[in-house]
Amino acid sequence: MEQKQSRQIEERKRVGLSGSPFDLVVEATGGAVVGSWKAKLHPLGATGVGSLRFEPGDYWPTTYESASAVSEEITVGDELAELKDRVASLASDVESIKLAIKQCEEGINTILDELREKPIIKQTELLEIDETLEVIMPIPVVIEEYDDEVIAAFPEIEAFGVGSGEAEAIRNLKEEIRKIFFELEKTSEDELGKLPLTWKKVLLKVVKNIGNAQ
Amino acid sequence: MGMLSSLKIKQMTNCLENKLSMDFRGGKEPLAWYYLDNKKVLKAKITNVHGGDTLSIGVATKLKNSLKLDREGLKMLYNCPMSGADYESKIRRMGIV
Repeated sequence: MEQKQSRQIEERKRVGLSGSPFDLVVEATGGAVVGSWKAKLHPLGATGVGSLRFEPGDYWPTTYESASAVSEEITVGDELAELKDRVASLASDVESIKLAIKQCEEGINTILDELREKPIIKQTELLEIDETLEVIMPIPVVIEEYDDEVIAAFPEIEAFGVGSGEAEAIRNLKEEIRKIFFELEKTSEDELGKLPLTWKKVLLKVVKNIGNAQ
Repeated sequence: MGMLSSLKIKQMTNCLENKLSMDFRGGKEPLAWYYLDNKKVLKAKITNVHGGDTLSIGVATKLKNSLKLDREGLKMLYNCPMSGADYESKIRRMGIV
C-alpha cells in the first residue's frame, strides 16, 4: 500500500541558472512515489512546478538531491526575460527624464541670463546734435541703464552711444548720429541696402545738414 | 553671468573683420559696415567704456541686434561654427540686402 507521505521540505540552496545565482526553496509534498514540487526563486519570486519522484524509503537527503537535480529544469526564462525588459524600459525612462531635466536646467539658465541682461529703460528726446546738424524734429531716445553703463539709443536707425552715465551716453549718441548721417549722405542710394536706405530717410526727416565742416 | 558678458573685444573684432570683412579701424568708436553685393547692408560698432577686454552686456546686446543674430547665432559666429558664408546666407534669407 502506498504510504502517503506529505512532506514539507524547505531548503535554501544556491543554484546556478543561466549563470545567475538564485535561492531555490523547494516545497515538496506528495505521495511516496510521485509528488510535486514547487520551487520559488528568491528574490525574483518566479516559480516553477514539476514532478518529483519519491522512492520508497526516500529520505530527506535524497529528496534534496532530486530537488537540486530538478532545479535545472526550472524554466524561469520567460519571467526573467519580462523582468529584464521592465528593468531596461525603466532604465530608458530614467535616461529620458535625466535628459529632460538637463534641458530644463539649460532653459532656466538661459532665462536667468536674459533677465540679468535686462536694463532699466526710460525715454527722452534730443533737440540738438552739434554745429553741423540741426534737429528739425525731436529725436526719440531710449535710455538703457545697466549695472555699470548707460546706453542711449535711437532705435529707428540702430544708433547708440555708451557712457558711464546718461550725459556721456547721449553725447556719444549724438556723435554716432552725426557719423551715420554723413556716411549715408555721401553714399548713393544704389549702394545702400534696404535698412541703410530706411535709416537715411529717417535721418533726413529729423536732422538737417547746416553746412558746417563734417 | 551669461554668454553675452564673456565676449572678448579683440576676438569679436577679429571675427567680424575676418569673417565678415568689416573694418573697425579708425577712431574711438569705429563704425563698421557689412557689405553684400557692393551695398552697405548692416553696420556694427564695438566699443568699451570701462577699458576691460570684454564687451559689456549692453554693447554685446546692441551688437547682436545690429548683426541680426540671436544669442545662439552670435555665439556661433564668435566661436567658429558659423563662417562668413553661413552668415551671408542667413542675411540673404532675411531679405534685408
